[in-house]
Amino acid sequence: MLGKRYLILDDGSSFAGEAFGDLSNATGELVVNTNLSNYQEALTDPSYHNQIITFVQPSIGNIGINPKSYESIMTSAKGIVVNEAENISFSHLKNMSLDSFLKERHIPGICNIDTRQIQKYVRKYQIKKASIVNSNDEHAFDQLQAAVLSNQQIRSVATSKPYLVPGTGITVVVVDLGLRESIIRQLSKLNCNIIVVPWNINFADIKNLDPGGIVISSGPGSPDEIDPIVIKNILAIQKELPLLGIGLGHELISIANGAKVSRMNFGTHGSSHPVLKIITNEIVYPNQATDYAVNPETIDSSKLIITYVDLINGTIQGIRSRDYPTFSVQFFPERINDLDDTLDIFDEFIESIEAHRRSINE
Amino acid sequence: MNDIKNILIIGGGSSNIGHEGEQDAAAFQAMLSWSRIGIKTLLIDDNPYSIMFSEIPKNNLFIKKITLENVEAIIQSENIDAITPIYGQKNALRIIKNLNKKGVLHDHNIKIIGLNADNINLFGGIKNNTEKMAKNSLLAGRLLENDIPILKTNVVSNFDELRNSINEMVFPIAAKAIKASKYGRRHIFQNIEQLNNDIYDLFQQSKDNKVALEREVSGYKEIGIVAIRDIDGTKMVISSLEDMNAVGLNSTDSVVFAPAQTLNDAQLHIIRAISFRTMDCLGIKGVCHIQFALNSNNNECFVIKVNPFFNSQTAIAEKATGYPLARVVASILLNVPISDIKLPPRFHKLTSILQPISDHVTVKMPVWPFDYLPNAINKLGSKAKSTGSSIGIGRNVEGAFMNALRSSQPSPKDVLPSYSDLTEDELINELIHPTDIQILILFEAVNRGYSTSDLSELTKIDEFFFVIISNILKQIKKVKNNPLNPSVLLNGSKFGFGAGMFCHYWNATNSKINRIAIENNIYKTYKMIEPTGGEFVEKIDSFYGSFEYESDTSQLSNHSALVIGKGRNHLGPNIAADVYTAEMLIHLHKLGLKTIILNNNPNSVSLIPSISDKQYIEPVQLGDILDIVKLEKPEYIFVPGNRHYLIRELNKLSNTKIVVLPPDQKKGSWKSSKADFSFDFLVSKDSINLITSVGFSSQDGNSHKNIEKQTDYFIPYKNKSLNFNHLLDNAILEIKKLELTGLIQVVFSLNEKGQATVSGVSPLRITETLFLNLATHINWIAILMKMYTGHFNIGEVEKLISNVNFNDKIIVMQTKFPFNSLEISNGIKNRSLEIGAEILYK
Repeated sequence: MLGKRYLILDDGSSFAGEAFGDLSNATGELVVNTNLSNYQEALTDPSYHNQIITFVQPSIGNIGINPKSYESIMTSAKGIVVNEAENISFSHLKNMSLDSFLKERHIPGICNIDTRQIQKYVRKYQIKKASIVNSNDEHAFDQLQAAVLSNQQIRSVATSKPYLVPGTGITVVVVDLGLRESIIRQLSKLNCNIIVVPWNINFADIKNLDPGGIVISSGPGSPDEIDPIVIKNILAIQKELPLLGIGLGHELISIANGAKVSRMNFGTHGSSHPVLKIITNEIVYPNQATDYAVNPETIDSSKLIITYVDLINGTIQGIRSRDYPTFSVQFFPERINDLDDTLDIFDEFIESIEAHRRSINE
Repeated sequence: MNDIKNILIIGGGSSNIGHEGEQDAAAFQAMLSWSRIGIKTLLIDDNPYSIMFSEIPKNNLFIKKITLENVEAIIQSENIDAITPIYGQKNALRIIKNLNKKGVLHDHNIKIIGLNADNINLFGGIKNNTEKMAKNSLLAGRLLENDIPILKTNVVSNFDELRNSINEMVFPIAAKAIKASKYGRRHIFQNIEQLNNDIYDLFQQSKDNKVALEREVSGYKEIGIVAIRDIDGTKMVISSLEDMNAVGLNSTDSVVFAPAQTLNDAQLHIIRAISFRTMDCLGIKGVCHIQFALNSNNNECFVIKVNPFFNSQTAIAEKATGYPLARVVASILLNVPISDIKLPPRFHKLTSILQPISDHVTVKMPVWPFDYLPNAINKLGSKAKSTGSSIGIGRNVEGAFMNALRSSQPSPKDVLPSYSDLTEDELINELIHPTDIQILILFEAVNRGYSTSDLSELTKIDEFFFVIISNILKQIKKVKNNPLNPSVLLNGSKFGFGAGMFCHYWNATNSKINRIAIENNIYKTYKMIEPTGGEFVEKIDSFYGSFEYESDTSQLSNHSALVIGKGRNHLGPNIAADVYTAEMLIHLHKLGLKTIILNNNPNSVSLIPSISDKQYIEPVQLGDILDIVKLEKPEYIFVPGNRHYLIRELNKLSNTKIVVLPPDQKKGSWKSSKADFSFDFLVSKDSINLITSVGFSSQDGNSHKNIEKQTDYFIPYKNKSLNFNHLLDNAILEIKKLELTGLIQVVFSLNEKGQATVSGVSPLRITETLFLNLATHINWIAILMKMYTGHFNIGEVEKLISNVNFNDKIIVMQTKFPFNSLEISNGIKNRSLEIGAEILYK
């Protein structure tokens, strides 16, 4: 029988539900994911590090855990909040349901929560932090208030050693700030020879690998907490090599070029927002998972061009440098297939590498 | 598109299997939004059960058979700016295609909207011509050119051709002899050896020596996508729809889940991307339903159907998400980009451009005609047989599933029929060859302990659905074993179990169950059916029940009317009843009441959001009604006359006026079952007014003039040898014997000498009420609403009646039957077996 658990919020409110997954207590930033089909991807996406994910999808676990749906082999989320948890496994050994996966990864879950109520509540009262606990007493709320979440997030999720994903095409260095495997999948489809490097690598070491271009990956947390070496690297890279930033990478490229990034009142975690591609006037619905946005007023229009805008909250979703082959997007352009409407960003990146090569040779 | 001043809609014609009120509901909403910006809607249709007929100005309505000639005649006489096929099925596509081909549209400078004019020739292909279809129709060609995976058909006429095409084929292959002397059966071949061995026989069977070969995909998952695309090429998925049954069983006959439940993110994005590419390459500007076959093991998928119009799948997507699909598409048709569409204030201003997400699950359950047609073959296959459906919405899969299942069952008691008496062999046979009782068979099999994976293997139904059934059965067991236990009551209610089930297993009355609920603080809350998943504040008026803490709604008004909808459609006057209900809502609202509809038919016109002030999509069962009554405290409840159990129980409520409408047909009084003609009256407490005479005839030689077989109606009935004044006196005498009010029909029969005598008196039937509206140009349902809410004015009605003039025309309503669709060769054309009707003038 399921045990009673509580989801407590930093404004002192509490919601009763039932335990599933790991039985430990957890505290994290509370975010709401509105995608209807990616619980496993979200759980394994390092961008969700330190976060407790509330799923809008009413029933979670329907398809168990699938070996092809990992965004990383690690799990980063602190906990999950769901309405209905289905305990189903379709793996060959029938042993890997969402519940057993969470237990194995020591991630607590709470189910039978009215997640619609949570979504509305979080937006109304701008909740930031929450805990999943066994008892909703004063002590638990004190702990929640006192909890300081690690700001060393990238150290926890990103690789500390470089590794190679061989390919026959252009060499691309991916700076790992909390990489989603989809980025590698897409670059692989384009035959890239991929070298994933740690976030704190020196620019000289990157250059020694003789890449055609650089990708600064997505990752968790605030860009302001990040070691200045990443910004320094970006400034050096963009002068010499084509550069693509995604998510956190986009935020850092913006900062390197003089813009400021601030935390949004409500993060966007889902695929329902229309994003306008300004140059073609095209509207796409990419997957977004962000709590930060580049402040439009701080964009130096002599340096940067805004390329994508979220039509719902007006946030900048993409920029391009006027001077260098540098561009970035806030959303995740990599879906798992090669037919997607936002995928041309990777094609554009490869083209810019080829163009850059030609310009050097001339 | 500022030059469009009017739009001609090609209607859908008589309802039939796979065609209920869904296109009417969409057309109605389009008409409303077009009229707001000064665009006139014109309609050609001959379906008397169309909500459009009473709402569209008479000058804009063409009640004619939907043929090329009749549409062309309208074009010649009216100054039409635009024409659209998307509210009228394949027939409408075919007509517009031919008009385009003939140059009529070009000559009159008429725009086709909903589809790109250059692509209309891709649709409405030639019917029943296997060979031409097989030779890769134009549509297939276009899709292939754009790398859209489809099931290509190769036609071969000898072994050489077979050898040449075999390289591009993937086994298993389905082969069928073209123009076979006998009905050509599909043969499945697993490999080239089998095919080589048997293809000679197939060549022999074909008159042309030709065999069509196609990749065999039965057993793949069948997934639907409902999406829209605008003038700028912006595309959005409204909902994914997952058939519980695999490819091979018609989607209309399958349980459908919205959104898809067993697909992973990658699979959903593959079919989403292919859907978008399909709409792009077909130049669709409006709505599109695309059906896929998906192999979930390797993500291979094929487009198997493209429907660029409103249909029952688009209706499910709209009901499931709360996205204002019909309104948005009405604007897209006028070239308004999705980002610029203005919605009514109840929607958040960004709703049209947000890709819809649901924090609930919707399940569609098919409804069958076989109770009425014991001789029909109830085996399910590629041809649709269900006459209607009901949907259930819930905060979890089990709840949605049980709500839908309860709504689809004939029992008013919320208890599922048991098939425990089937032998093992019978059960397995039913599992492999599903019939109309498939769902209950699956319950029985899980109950007997078959493993979910074995069942999945046997039925090709994803194991997930058996897990859901197993969860439900475990919960039912808990209900059985724990009488009057409050936590079981709560958990069972969350799984969509009706109050009737607790009453049954706990041998308790409704009020006893209610008391346990109140004492333990268990109550139904209502969640809004809105498309943002709680991200934005919406004020949409549609709700479903849950048993969670927070409710999204409160009492609408202390001056409201709750109208109990018809629910599922089977055979008989169902669609007419739904239109009747919609009319009631429209006119109750006009009388100053706040209107609330309870219904669960996704194709219903009575659930059109702008027709009522509030909509509940819930089972039309006693417990669910009482929950709504508890919250809304309506002044009036309108209950359909055929729901005797409900009427009896609801009459126990105090403080609420119960009005039985549409009326109870059994309240009549009959001396004979013979019928030749009738008089229709309006009867109030202190007045009786003749409206018109109605003649009856039969479609299959009914020498006994049995009223059940009198399925054609005509107004007025003329017979010079009869003394109508005398008959009128007789009729009034008969009416006075009964305590009936409302629309009353006195039926007469003629004897051998041609003399008329009264056969019976009864409330006017639903279908004939709509017919009467059309014939007299008076909305009799509006008058009934006035009568039952204290707004009746006999003087006004007498004036209306005195103005009725048939202009020497006879208006005829002919009943339609589903026998062809159900492959019944000698169906008896009884009133109770009707599926629709057509109107014509003589």
